[in-house]
Amino acid sequence: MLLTPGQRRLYGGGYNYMTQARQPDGTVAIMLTGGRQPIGHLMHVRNLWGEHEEVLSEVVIPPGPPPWIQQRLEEAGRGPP
Amino acid sequence: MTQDYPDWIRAFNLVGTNITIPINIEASDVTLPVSIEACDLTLKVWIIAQLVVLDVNLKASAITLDVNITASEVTISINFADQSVAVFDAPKWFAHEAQQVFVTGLDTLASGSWGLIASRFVPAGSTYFLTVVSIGYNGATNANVGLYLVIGGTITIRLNGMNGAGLTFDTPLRLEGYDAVELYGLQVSGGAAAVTGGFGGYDEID
Repeated sequence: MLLTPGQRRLYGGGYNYMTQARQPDGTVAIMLTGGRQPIGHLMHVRNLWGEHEEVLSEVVIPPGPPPWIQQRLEEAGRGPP
Repeated sequence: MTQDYPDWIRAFNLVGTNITIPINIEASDVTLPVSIEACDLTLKVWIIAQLVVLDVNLKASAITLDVNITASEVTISINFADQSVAVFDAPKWFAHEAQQVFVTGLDTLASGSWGLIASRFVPAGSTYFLTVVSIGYNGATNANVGLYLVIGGTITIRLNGMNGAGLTFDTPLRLEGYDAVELYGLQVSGGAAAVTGGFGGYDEID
C-alpha cells in the first residue's frame, strides 16, 4: 500500500503537533503541523490506525499567514506607526 | 612495600623553552590513585596558552563520575567565554535535542460513555518521552470528566476531575517505537457534549 504524503508524515513522526477531531460518522480529521516541513497536512481519514485505513481527502496547508495578512504585515512593518 | 617518609618534599621547578613530561602507562590493570590528606589543600590547575585542549575521554561499559563536595560554603564558578557554549541538564537537553510532539483531540460523547480522544503510534526508530496528559470538557453545565491513558494496550494512568483534569509527570513515561498511545475520555453531564484532551512530550531519535 502506498502511503500518501500525509500518512508518511503521520507514521514517520515528522511533526510537532497533531490535532484529531472525530466526526459523527467515525472518521477522523487530522492536522499535522510543525517539524522540519513548513507546510501542514490536513487529512480526512476513515478507519484510522485500522487495517484498511483510507485517506478520504488530503490538503496541504501552505506555511505562513494568508497572502493578504502577509501584505498587511509587510506594509505595517515598513513605515512609522 | 610501604615506606614511611616522615617528611617528603620533592619540588619540581622546571624552566625551559619546551618542556614535555610524558606519562605513558601500558598495563593490563592500571591503578593511579591520587590521595591527598592535608589540613589545607590547594590544588591549582593553572594553564595559560594560546590554545588549550583539555580532553577528558571516558570509554567504558559503565561510567560513574561522582563529584561530591561537602563544605560549609561552596562556590562553583563555571565561566565560558565562547559564542557557542551551552550546558544543559537532562530535561532541557532532551527538549533542545529532541522533537517536541503534542497530540490533541476532540470527540462528542454521550454522557457516561468513554470515547477515544487522541491517539498516536510512536514512529519506528524513536523513543517517545511523555510528559503531560490532560482532559477537558465543553458544556454548559459542570460535569465530571475522566481520562485513561492506554500505552501499548495497558491502562497506565487514570485521572478524574470536575470539568477537566491534567497531570505533568516528574519523570517522563518512556515509550518505544511501535508503541500505541491512546487517550480515552469521559464526561458525565447528563447529555452529549464535546470532550477535548491531549498528551505531549518529545521524540528522541534512537
